Amino acid sequence: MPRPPTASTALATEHLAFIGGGVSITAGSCDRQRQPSMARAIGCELSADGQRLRLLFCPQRAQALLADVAASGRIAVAYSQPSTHRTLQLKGRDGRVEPALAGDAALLERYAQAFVAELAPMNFPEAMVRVLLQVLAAAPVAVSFTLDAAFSQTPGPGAGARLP
Amino acid sequence: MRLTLDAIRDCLDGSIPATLATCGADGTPNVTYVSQVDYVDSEHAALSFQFFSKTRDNVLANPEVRVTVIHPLSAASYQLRLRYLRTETEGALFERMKAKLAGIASHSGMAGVFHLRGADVYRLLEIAPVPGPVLAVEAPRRNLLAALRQASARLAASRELDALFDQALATLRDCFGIEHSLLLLLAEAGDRLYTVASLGYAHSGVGSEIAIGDGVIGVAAQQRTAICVPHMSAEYSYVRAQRELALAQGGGEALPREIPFPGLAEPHSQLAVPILAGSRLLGVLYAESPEDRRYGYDDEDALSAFGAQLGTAIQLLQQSAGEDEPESEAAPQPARGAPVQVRHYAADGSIFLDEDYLIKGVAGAIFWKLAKAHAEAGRVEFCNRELRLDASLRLPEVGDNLETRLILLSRRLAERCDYLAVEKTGRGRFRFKVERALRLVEVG
Repeated sequence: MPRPPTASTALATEHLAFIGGGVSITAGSCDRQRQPSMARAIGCELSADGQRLRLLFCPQRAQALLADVAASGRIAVAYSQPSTHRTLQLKGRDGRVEPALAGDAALLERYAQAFVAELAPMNFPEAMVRVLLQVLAAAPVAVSFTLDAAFSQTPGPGAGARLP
Repeated sequence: MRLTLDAIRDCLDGSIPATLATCGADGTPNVTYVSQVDYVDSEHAALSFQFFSKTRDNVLANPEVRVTVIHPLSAASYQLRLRYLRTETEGALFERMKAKLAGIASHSGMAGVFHLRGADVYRLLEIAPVPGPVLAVEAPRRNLLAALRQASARLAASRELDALFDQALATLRDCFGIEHSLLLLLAEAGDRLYTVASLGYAHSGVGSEIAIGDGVIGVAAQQRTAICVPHMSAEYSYVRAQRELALAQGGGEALPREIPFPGLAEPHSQLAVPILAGSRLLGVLYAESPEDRRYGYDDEDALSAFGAQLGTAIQLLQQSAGEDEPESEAAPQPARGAPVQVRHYAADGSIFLDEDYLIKGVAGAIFWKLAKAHAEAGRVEFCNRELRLDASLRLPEVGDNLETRLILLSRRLAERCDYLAVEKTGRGRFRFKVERALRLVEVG
């Protein structure tokens, strides 16, 4: 039985801080034939009303994922901190593809700087990280969704446990 | 042109975790990180299966998955469309991935957490580059095919087994830039390997032994495949295991019978490849480095090919070593200095010169036979054939390990004393040089 959608703010503050930090973000969806699609997200924040999570993508690099989310609303997002392997997966059933907002350029840069800072001690140069976060268009596009389920995926015995 | 896994093999070196997207039976997507995506061949990849999870359920219910891998230098991303085929929980692929994962785990602080349950084998359906410019990558420091060609020519020039062993390691250094290496041969019983040559260490370690299945070297022998650990891993450190064993034994036995393994205390890269003659395992070549990720897939391939060539060369020289030539005259050797007590422990064939451990096993038994023949009849000239026919030495039917045992004995003597030597005097003949009186003591 799927649980009814709950507000993004149901996530504990520590998790909200985590997903808004310099963590690696990968989103997945699938098509009608249950073929998965995936893409790297390049920014994440709560929507202005606090009810939805917003993720940014390069429209060219995330083409298949964006099409699948638009068609099915299904989305899974894994957030992982490279230095600690702490990993969280959030899922939504009402994903929408939306145009970028005025503040998204600043969000992109804020996220890029945080991710660069996270990876620098692990000897990944900034130029490499910038390749991963590039946008091949005038502006990114956004996907927003309300939180349906959250799981801890940090490697170890508790991996896969649903968060309360 | 359709891309195969050959084109993106560098992305599978484990330095950047891959991401995996699956879809459940009910259409719910799932995304997770994968520690290791291993190259199997141009059309197959293996993913490390470490935890029972939603991903596991999804893959079993719906075998088509997407994996994103990233080039460790250019940051180029590729999306792989893969179809799950099977899970392997033993054998060459499993052991290869287990060793690599151990290195990755300890490098990322996950030793004891990352544990390989299986190697999930997938068929490649498609590789799609993620669009966009990437960083330029510098050319590799050497062309390994050119190095291999040069190395082959050098091996072919060796005429003596003894010289071939040293030449093989010098070739690794000169052609492949490998500064620390060992050559180990399989013992007659097939349960262990013994070091017959080494390069780049303070102590040669000739005669030191590794059990089949133990660490990188032992597993390479057991599985007959290249085994590589890309980072410092306590689990795969011989020197550390040796030190811990010595501590556990509380200062050790009064008379240690092990020759210490000569390797680096903290190798950050280890690579072992089997030395094969056809399908027969002769030994293992081992290379290590203080650098992380020193050996990649191309090094594994190049050294594996070199190992096969070396195996053929060893086999050829072992066969020709059996041919006898006319006897040469022995030079008289006057004894000098105080007599040396030579003790032989029948239980394991171990030999001690006064209080110093020399050798055991077949090489020990050979030494004891030579020492007795010298004491009883003053003999110094010997031929391989008489050793081969001596039932007490317990040499196997195919006695081509005799020559390598004599080389091992001769190297140990050269390292441990200046008054005893085994010197080749012709094909299949050698001289036992004794320059001090020997007092033989049989123990047990």
